[in-house]
Amino acid sequence: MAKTKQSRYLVVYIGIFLVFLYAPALLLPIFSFNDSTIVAFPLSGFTLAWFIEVFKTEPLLTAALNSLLVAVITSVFATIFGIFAARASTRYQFPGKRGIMGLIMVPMVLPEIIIGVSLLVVILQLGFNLSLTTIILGHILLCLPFCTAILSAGFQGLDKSFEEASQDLGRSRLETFWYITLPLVMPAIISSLLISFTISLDEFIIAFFLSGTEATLPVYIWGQLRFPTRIPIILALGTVLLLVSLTLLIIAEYFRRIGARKTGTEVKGGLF
Amino acid sequence: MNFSFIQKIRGQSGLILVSPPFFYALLLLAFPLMGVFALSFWTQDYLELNRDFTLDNYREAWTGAIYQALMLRSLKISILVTLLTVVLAFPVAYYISFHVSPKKKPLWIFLITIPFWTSYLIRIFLWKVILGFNGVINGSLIGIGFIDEPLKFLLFNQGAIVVTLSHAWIPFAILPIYVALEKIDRSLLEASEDLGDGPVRRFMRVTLPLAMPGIIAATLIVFIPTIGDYVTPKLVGGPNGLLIANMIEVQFKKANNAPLGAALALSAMFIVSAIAMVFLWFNRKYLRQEQ
Amino acid sequence: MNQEAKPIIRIESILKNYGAIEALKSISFNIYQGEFLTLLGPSGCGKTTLLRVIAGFEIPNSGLVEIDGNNMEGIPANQRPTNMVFQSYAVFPHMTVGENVAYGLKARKADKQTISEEVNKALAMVGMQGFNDRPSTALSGGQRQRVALARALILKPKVLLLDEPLSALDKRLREQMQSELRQLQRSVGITFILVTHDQEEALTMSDRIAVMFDGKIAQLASPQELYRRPTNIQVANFVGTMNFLDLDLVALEGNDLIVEIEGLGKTTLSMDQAPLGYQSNSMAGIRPEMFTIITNKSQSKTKVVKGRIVETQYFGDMTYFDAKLEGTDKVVTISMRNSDISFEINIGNNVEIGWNPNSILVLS
Repeated sequence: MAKTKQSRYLVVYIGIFLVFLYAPALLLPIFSFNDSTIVAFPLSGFTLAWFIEVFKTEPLLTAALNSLLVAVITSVFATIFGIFAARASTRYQFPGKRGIMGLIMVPMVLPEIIIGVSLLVVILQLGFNLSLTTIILGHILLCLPFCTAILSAGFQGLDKSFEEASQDLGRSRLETFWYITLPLVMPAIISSLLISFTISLDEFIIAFFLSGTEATLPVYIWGQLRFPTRIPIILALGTVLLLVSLTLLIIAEYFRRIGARKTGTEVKGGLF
Repeated sequence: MNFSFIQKIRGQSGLILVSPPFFYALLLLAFPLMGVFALSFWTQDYLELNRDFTLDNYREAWTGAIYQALMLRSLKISILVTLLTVVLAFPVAYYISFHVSPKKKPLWIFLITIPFWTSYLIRIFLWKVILGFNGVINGSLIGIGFIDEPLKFLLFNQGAIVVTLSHAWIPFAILPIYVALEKIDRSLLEASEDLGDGPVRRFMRVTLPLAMPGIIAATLIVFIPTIGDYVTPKLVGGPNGLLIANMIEVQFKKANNAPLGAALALSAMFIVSAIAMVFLWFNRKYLRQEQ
Repeated sequence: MNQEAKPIIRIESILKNYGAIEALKSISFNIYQGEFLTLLGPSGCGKTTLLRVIAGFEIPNSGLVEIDGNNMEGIPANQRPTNMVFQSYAVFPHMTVGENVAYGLKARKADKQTISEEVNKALAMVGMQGFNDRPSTALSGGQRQRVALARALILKPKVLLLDEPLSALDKRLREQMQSELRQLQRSVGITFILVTHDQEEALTMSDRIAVMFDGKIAQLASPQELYRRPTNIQVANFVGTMNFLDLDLVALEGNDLIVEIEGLGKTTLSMDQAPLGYQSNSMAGIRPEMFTIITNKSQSKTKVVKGRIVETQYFGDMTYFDAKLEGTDKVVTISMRNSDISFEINIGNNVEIGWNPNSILVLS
């Protein structure tokens, strides 16, 4: 396309936009290495103290472990449920399909506060205590539509004749699922696990409503943001989280590409 | 065994397969929502729940001055955030789709999402650092001698909420618009040019109408969850920046008036859904006329 | 054709509906041991559905499928003595060539030694010996086709089902695979059922062809029979090219039909030339090669009409002419070997066209 005046304006806009987009993310490492408890310019010097502090703060580590536990369990269950839902929606016709799939996908467009509040009401009415378990229940609900969407794409990309060929060659439905279907949709399963893990790890509102005495990492961070002296530690933690997430994301993309190659579809589009 | 019997079993197996996630969503989403619905018609005295049917909660939610103000403010901010986000996102999506070479597109999409892979709370907090009294903007402006005293209007107001939320939601607006733009058959644009349209007319008459599904998706993806945001107003909104979600939380936790909280939550959901429906209806009508 | 009395597959009154759509409308026929049978028809005619009913992937609403004397009702695809080569080949992308070919045998719990020998034999049969450890994603279309064949044939099925196996290949490779498939079928002696929409492919490969339209078998016959004596207009149009001319019955005298044919005039036909009898909507059909443009007076044709050339199409060995018959608006297509044409024929030339009443078919 010819470089017109419009396209030059566009490039200038993109430059300004990227500054806006990256402003917070760039401040994160700057202030996590800044040798001052006051998060403001001018910078006072370089330190690794905040990172060391991150790994020495007991409640932070406990909260991180809680979050990890919640995220792992959430991602496993959301992905298993997602496999059921995706398989049913891509391979079968059944009565009430639209309504049922609609209900499963609703949390995607529901404000998280509504999910949090409605679960809170029911859990308290039934007399259960708030705990990590209640957070997990909420997070599975929240992640289910994302997992279902990713896995549906995976199952849809799988040529039906692979499964038919396996049955035609004498294998039962169960063997076919195990030897053919699972290996071929494995990349989608891994993506689903990683996405739901990431969503759960970062989710605050539902966790805030449904947490009891044990905090997840975002709930812990929320509590710490009130104390100005704790801020640099939290920012150092944010830097660590950014690096961990990016690593996971790159792994997810790697598997997606392998998957696309396996099912013979063209590798296109972005990371999602 | 007759054949139609086997077909019936096959029809059932989809239902059997979908039942675990379906029952999960039924038990933990549909029933709780119904519970909230029922709760909104009850009243609460400290810890005692009075299950007599009443519309008082809704009366209060819809007529109480503070609730009205919060609801209107939340709607105003959601609409502003949505507008700003979509307007900011469109040129970026357009640039990636039309000006970036196909090989580099995934990299650009990755580039757009990198800043978002850290804690949501920390990201919001960083905007407080940027906009704050001793923050980045004020610091820089004083540093270059542009101003003598820090600008106070940057933080703790509704403008700060709009900027922060727009930043938080922008990748969710860029992606659907980008996908819609990618789907446009490039030969349509060439055809439009060939038939005598200049760049501006071509954009208005071909590109924009064809990108509409992506714009609609982006609008809904940003608008609906924004109304429920709870963190941003608390961190950067200041005293006049609290929104309906904060009030819902107060009713459920500190004020111990869950029924009113339920009525507020459902009212907010109702208003948001109604606006979304009207928006969708309007668009469908508009798009049908285009055809 | 070694047509034994007992059919390997017996299909009786098969009916298959998808909701209100009738995909198969009461289909009955037999397939015999060692036969190469082709199901030919346009897309949506039900040919693939019929193949999938035989394989066990579709359950008919009613009717009977019997393979080698056994009723297949209630028997799933994985227990039927049939194997299939899919249109997309469905070569498993996460396995090597060898693992693909061994996949079915492993299900039968054969020992490793046997499996490895059989895999080598099967690969050799399709000309792919030594490919065992190749990843199947690195294969060309033709190679995938061969792997799919080896994978199916290794199980020694009673019937091999092929669902448009050549449609994804380019023209040259397709022609090569056609003759290889035919040779392979002769050497293994297994019954093949091929589904295709390509009439040329059907004519070159098959022992018998079942032409299907709209969920029904319109004609089941040998390629020669099908081309020479199609039983209706639809079949005649689908298999090769045919000119259709209006037909009026003048008189019926014993076994003779005296008819008036548009542009060709009055002539006498035998009742044998109307495979399904004369009907009021019957037309006269004549293949393009049954007309001759007379370029040499010694060429003897029983009948001659005059016409004017309106279009020519040159094909190297052949030329197709469109000629308007004198006294009508009717345009017929005439095909001539170029070696039989002794002077140039151009658009606008008036020519004499020879034809023989024996080559006319009365079809409806």
